[in-house]
Amino acid sequence: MEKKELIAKINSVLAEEFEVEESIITPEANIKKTLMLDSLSLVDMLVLIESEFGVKIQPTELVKVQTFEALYDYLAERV
Amino acid sequence: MLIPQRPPIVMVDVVWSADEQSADTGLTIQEDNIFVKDGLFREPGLIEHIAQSAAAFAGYGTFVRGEEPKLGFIGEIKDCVFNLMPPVGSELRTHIQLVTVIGGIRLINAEVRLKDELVATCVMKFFLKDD
Amino acid sequence: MINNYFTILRSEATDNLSGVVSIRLNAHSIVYEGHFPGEPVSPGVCNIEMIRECAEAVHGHALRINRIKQCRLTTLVTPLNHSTADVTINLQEQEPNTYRLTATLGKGEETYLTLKADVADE
Repeated sequence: MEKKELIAKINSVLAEEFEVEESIITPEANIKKTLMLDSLSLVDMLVLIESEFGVKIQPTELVKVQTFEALYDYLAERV
Repeated sequence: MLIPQRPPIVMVDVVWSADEQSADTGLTIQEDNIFVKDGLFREPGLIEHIAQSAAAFAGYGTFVRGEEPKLGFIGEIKDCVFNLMPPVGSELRTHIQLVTVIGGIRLINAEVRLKDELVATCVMKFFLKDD
Repeated sequence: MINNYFTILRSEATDNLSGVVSIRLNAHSIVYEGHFPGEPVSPGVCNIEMIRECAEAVHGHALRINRIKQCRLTTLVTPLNHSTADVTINLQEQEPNTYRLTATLGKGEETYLTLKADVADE
């Protein structure tokens, strides 16, 4: 998958699950704030990413994945 | 007993099997079940059955380790779909599968079946007290 | 459904799709004999059922829950500490006779439970 395609897929999957407009997802935006995630919905995001992209993000690695840009890079390296 | 609930709100009457990752439970729907209306076991009964199946699953892990069962709390119910309302006399069989444990939050998938028919599916997140 | 679980004190419907229903939880309900002995805690599923019945009161028609999209239980509700509360109901028609129900159970600024569900006229 090309990175551009991957980004489009990540955005659409997250926008649908967390019921936000895709347009508010920008590379530099903070994931938790943009998607209004708390500890329960964060679990949903991790499970969703694992089922959609086959990548398991370890909770300890989450500190490195704060923005969408960081998430795109993280997944691009592993998909 | 693997669960802390008592009559009239016991919605699991058998634990067929349980291990660290999954459990299989059952319930035969009696006519005097408090969640039966007009001869059918309704949505809240199905959710409570799933929640108690998850509690039995959580309780089993502590049981085999010789520990006191911990109280579990449901944090969230998600994507719970009800396909049918089982009639009185139905023998439900339910599979609980642990999906993940993240930061003390346990996420499970549940499938309730009546013979070959899928009655309900549900995702639940719960915590164990003092976990 | 469950006799005596709650009483509707007042129902203020804006129209047949939204409103606020004030309720009282009955500490003598039979469910507390088993949930839990000597330590009454309102079962989450009974609160979901109560919300469904409050939605019916606002809607003026029987409603069936087809799917719970999400239900958050943020506070442990007990009939002693939370004897009265408000249920807010909002129904958005999706297709004819099917609705997205968004509801909360709480009091004042505090929310005990939020529910998003697909319901249909029965």
